[in-house]
Amino acid sequence: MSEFLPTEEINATQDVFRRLKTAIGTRIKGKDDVLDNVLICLAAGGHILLEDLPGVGKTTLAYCLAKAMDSDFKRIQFTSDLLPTDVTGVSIYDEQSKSFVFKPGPIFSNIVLADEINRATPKTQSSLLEVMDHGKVTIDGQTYEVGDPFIVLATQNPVDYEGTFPLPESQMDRFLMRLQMGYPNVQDEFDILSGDLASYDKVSFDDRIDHGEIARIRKTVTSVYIERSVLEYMLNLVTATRTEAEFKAGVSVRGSLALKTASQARAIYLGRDFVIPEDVQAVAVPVLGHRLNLRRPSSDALEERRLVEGILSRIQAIVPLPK
Amino acid sequence: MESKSRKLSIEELYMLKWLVGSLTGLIAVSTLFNLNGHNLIPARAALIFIGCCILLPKLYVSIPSWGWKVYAVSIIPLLAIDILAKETAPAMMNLNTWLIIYRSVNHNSRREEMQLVLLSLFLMVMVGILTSTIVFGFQLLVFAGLATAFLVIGSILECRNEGRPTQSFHFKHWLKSFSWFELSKVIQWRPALQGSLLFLALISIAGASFLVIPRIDIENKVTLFEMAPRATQTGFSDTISLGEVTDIKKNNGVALRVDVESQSLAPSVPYWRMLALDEYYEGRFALSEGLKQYMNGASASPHHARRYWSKKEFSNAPSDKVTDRWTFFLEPGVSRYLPIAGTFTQLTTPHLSDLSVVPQMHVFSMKKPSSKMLSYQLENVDFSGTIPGTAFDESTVLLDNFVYSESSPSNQYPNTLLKLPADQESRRYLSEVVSELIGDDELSAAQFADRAIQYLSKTHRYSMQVALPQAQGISDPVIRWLQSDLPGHCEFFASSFILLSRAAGYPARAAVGFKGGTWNAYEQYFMVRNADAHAWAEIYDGNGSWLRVDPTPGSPSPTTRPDLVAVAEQPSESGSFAYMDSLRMLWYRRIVNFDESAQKEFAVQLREFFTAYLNVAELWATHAIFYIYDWARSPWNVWRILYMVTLGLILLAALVIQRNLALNFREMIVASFRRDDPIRRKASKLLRRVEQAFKKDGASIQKDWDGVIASLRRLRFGAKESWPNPRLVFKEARRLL
Repeated sequence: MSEFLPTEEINATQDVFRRLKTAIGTRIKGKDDVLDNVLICLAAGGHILLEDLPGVGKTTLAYCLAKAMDSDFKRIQFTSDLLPTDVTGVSIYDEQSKSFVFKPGPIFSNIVLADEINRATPKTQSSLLEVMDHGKVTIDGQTYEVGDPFIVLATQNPVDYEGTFPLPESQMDRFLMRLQMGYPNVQDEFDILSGDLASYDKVSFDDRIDHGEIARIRKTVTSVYIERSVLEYMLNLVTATRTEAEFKAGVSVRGSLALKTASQARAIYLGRDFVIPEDVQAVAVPVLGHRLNLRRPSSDALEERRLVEGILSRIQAIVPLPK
Repeated sequence: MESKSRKLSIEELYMLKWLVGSLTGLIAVSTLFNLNGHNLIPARAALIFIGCCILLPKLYVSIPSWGWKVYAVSIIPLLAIDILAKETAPAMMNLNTWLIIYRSVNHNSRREEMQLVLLSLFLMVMVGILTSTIVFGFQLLVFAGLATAFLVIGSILECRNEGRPTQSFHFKHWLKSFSWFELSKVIQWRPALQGSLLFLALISIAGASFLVIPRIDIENKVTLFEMAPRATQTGFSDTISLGEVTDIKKNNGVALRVDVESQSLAPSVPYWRMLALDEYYEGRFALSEGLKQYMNGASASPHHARRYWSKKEFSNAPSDKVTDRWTFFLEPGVSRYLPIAGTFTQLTTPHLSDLSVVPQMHVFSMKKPSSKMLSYQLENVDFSGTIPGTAFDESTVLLDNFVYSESSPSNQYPNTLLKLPADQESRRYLSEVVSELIGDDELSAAQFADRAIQYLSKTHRYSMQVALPQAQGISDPVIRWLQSDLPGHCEFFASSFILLSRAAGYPARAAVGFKGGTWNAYEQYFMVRNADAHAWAEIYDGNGSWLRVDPTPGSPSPTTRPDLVAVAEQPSESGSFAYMDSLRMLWYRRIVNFDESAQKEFAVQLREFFTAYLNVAELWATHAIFYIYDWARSPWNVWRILYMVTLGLILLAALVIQRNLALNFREMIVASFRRDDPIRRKASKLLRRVEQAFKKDGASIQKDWDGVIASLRRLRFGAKESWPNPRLVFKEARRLL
């Protein structure tokens, strides 16, 4: 990689992230690690699966992110009777022009919150596949661009499983990271309670980032340098998941590419133009966790997640760091 | 960088495995050539076939699969022939060889690889039981390496294939368009070298354990099977037959090696006596029937033999007396009779139960010729050339009172000692010569021998080729030769002398063995060659002893005692042949015959070596200290001071340069042996140390460290184009540490 990043650009990038984090941090208290990962996904251009109990701020987070970036925000509440056209849009016949006119669905936005995504039928879930991969929707042979940047934040309730359709693996694979919000600690929750926090749709920030900035940052991510031994380290991690007996299947190639991009994004997020093994270690669990299934599935989704992440940490401990 | 780390493709690995596997088979088969008396046709066939397949893979590919099926079926009749013709052991080995031919070029699955290794191992073990040559030792070493490599490559392939079965058809097809040269281009020498080093380390550990493990004499405890040795290589038979035409071929192979302290004394031309023969019949000396029966009977055991000699011991362990010891290594297939230099006080051999002793003839023999190197030891060897008769031998009494009578020398020992040619004409001729020799004098046996030798050397010269003249009346070849003035070889001289002595009334017998030998200075031992085979005579002196008489021209006179010289000062050989032979000796002496006492000796030598080293080091240190002391005390002048200052400046400059280089000298040298970037390696090392120190000291000094850590990280993981100056970063890091 002959072109490497000038220092000014890195500084500018870091400045953007700092401002975003400060802005969102006024509403989402004490969730620095989640915020970091969300911003890393933003930089990497990946989609996020937020898996947690209701009412811990998943929607607020998505909304705040949209507001801080001064970009469009749409929310789709997934239900079992939701149809793909409800998501992507539909062509309807227009009496005046005597032709079909495309009415864009809620997916045409910058930040899309797919709430309770596992409540929709697989048919509807799959309608997200193309748009999540390419940022495009094809309807009646006509391709439409959705927004840029385009991020899907899907939420999923791991406890209430009644009447849900678990996401297929192909769908899971398209999320860059799976994150958990978790409860805030006591002090943070006290702040939340004592503060005057209006409902999230009234949130507005003074300091907004132009979402064109985000597109620029995304371009820089690909030119973050990865040394050979670090690449080998990633490869070793991924290969270890494939030979691990407890997993039904290992991480896909898309998964290892995601690991690479996420590591690069973390490097630039922390103001570096090269990846260090710590980057890989930090993003490994959120990037790889949801791509792995146990050979003996647990009845409890939370329990299964803990087991998978436990095995992942064990693999990380075993695979030697580059010397 | 990329080309170096390229992995071998699956096909290339298969290729390599096939090559190593066939080589393993080849080596296993080649060990068969160490065996004496084994049918070598299967081994030769295997060697040629496998060798051709390795050199020309196309040839192997062109063999159709039905060809192999036919071959598999044809092994059965081959085995049947073997079993019908011979004992089981050689048949098993031949069967093994036939199977290796097939398996060493056809091994695709894991199971077949194991089969090949097991078949080869089985063959190696069988050969190992039957032989212990240095060549076999070397082959064993190569085999171990190859088999290990073979199994390792097999495992690598299995890993790469992830347990899927191999595609043999595809592989064969691919073999068609391949040459070994291509493989040599893609092979990774680094792991190959590492593997070889590991193997060497393993061998050294095995060698060290060989030196220290307790000795067990396996030979006497495990009697597996023996193979008959090949027909004697030298034509060394237990008779002397004098035919019409003789043409002795020179065989330069070493027949006997004698290991002895270099200060030991020996005559410059030693005689290694193996066998004495008493009976004479029509140009042929042989052991008389009675003695032969005695030798093969139970009473010839060493236990019985002790009755005859009060001073001779037979044992399977050396005595604890301090004496000179002569250790003999007799090549397999030379003879069943042990070459003995003169008389001795103790004979030590591990094969005591196989030993037959014929005291009358002073002959020591094994029950049958050995197929292995035979070793035995003599103590207190006496080279004087006089063989004492036995104390309780009735023949001594008979011989002492012996009066030659024309009437009846029967075929019974000791009368055979006086047996002459049967026809009257021969006897008349002999008595004519004898009366010419003796006249009216009263001669002792030695004096008679002197005269007879002079008589013989007057008319005859020495020659290896002899063609006797046409027979005229007398058929006895010895008499015909005696009458002529033809040259002759040692057997003619010895036979003539014996007949003359007998005709004169002195009991005489023929002795067979080796004469001479050369000193090998490389490993300090005597080499006696097959070409040194010799025949001479022994004459009874009337006082209970047998005198050695060598009537062949150029031999020492029987009346003079031979001069004894230290063996190390004897004529020695220093050519390449001697060197190669010394390796064999080294093998037998240090490896095959490495017993408990040798172990002790080795330990003592080791201790002496180290103490000597320590002494040298101590001496050197004392010298160095005194030198420095003298140097410092000697007067200083301008030049000396200038010299010292310049030296100091140069050292200082070197130090400064060193400190200002990104890498120190050691790292620069080491870098050329390593695959990764030396700067990255060093940065990584420093980074680890810095991070550790950082963890220990906590965050209080973070400000100073942040920059260094960032720079080190950039050096370690960053793009080369973005690197800061490594020298400055390293310097800063060292300053902080």
